[in-house]
Amino acid sequence: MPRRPSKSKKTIPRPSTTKKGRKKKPPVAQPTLLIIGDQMLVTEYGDVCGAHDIDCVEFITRREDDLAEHPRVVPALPKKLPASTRMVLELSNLDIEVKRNNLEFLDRILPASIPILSTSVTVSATEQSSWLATRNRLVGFAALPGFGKSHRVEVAPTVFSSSETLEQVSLFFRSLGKETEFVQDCVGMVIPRIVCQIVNEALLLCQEEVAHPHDVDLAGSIALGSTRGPIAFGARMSLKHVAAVLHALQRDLGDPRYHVAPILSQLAVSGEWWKRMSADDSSSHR
Amino acid sequence: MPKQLGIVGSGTLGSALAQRAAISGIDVVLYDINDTLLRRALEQIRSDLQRRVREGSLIQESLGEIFSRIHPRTHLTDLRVCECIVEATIEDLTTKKDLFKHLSQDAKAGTILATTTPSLCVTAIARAATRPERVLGMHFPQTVPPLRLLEIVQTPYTSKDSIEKARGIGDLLSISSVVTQDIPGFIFNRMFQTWCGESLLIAGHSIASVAQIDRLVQDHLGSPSGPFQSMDAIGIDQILIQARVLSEAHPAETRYRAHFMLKRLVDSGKTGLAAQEGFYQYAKKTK
Repeated sequence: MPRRPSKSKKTIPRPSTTKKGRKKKPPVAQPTLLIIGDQMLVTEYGDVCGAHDIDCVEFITRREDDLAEHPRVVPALPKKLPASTRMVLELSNLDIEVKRNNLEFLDRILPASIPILSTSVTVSATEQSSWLATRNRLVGFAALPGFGKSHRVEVAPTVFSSSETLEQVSLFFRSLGKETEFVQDCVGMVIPRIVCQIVNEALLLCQEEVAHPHDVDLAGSIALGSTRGPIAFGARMSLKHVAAVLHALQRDLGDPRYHVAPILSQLAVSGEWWKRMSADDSSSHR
Repeated sequence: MPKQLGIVGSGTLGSALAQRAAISGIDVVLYDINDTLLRRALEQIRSDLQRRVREGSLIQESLGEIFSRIHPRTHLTDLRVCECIVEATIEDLTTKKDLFKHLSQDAKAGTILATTTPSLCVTAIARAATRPERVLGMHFPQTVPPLRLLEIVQTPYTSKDSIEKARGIGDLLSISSVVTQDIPGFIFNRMFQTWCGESLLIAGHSIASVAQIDRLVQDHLGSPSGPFQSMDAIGIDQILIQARVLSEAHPAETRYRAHFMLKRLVDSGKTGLAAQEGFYQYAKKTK
């Protein structure tokens, strides 16, 4: 399901060195960034890259409005990718099978020198790289809806990641105005793990009818000192992604602390009660 | 709206509340068991008010008027005039039950009685009162800066009218208020402990450093400080106490278990900013 190609023409920065190791200017070609994966993330990162004049081509392989019970319909992957492709962002969090299909396809079709930056919040980057023939090309990073606007990005190198790939990744994020924080390769990474747990706890409080969602959100935002409350964070990130991260954490770490609140699971699938809850706001409980 | 607010206990929270109420134009009857404790509290309030003048948030001319609104008393019967009495004494259920029994017998018909307990069962305290429908919790979680949130804790007995009055007090004191059921940790500490607990696990497993986690949280959540900076500012000993309240109430839930790092820091005296060392090291203040 190809999305509109962006019109921008900025090159993806690549580290390039002379034989003596001195840095020189990036090539003047028109390299393309390929963005593939979940709808919300592809759209968001496409917009972020477009805003920084990076030429990108987007493919959506999973839509957020697909209901979990429905049989998966994976859109056909393109038979050919732009010859100018110089880097790939693989942005699938919701379905590991789809992610694996995408990565195996990309690994097969793209030259070994092209790095793949892949979200690693629901499956570790090292596990992902084990699916590939060219293992050193994959680097994990944290991507959830809403993260595109942040100034810092978590990057998780695998045991196979080459230093050249890591340098390319840092340069790429710098071109988007982001600082890179290298963290250990672990499902959930840092912010997704913290934020998803907070959203889960907030919704658990709502489910237990401890307080009105508006009050949970207000107390939560003061507890975290954050600009918005945990429920608002959940809405921004999409509860499907929140549930996917928590399921992955529980699967990976085997700790019941990541048990998904039943209300979160229901809202992630239907979303209807969620909308009503937002519409009610505080007017009805006071 | 209360013309007179009664405060039982002139410790840190009682003094802070008295000061905030006086600044907000409310007369305060500040009770404690002896003059020494009250004198110490008034000195602390005076010193805080003078600091505010130096910082520019108050004008010198208003100090006298503000200070004159605080009436120190050593007889509980002096609280009879108050429309709302807030208890801020030691965390002991028997003491609080006795106090509420006594207060509810003495107080005017419409007076609401509030406990600031962060950990005890408000319902148990309410049951000791002769008018439990007038009893509720007014929990002021430890925040930086202080008194940013009021958690109004309702018991099965609390009347709607009492909750509305408590909300009115929150508004008068310019503190955001929320209404919560009487559960361990209420809303704030459940959220705060989840935030800190998950961050401690991540740091404990060396997935990222304490400084990295703080930087990432500040950036993504728009928080002025990260979880470790916040724990240092509030006091790691206090965080450990809150964590234990939750873990004791939910022994089967691993997510409320206090992380060993908290105990280790407290045992070694590294309780945060006040001790000049916690998760971070702080330079000693030069006089």
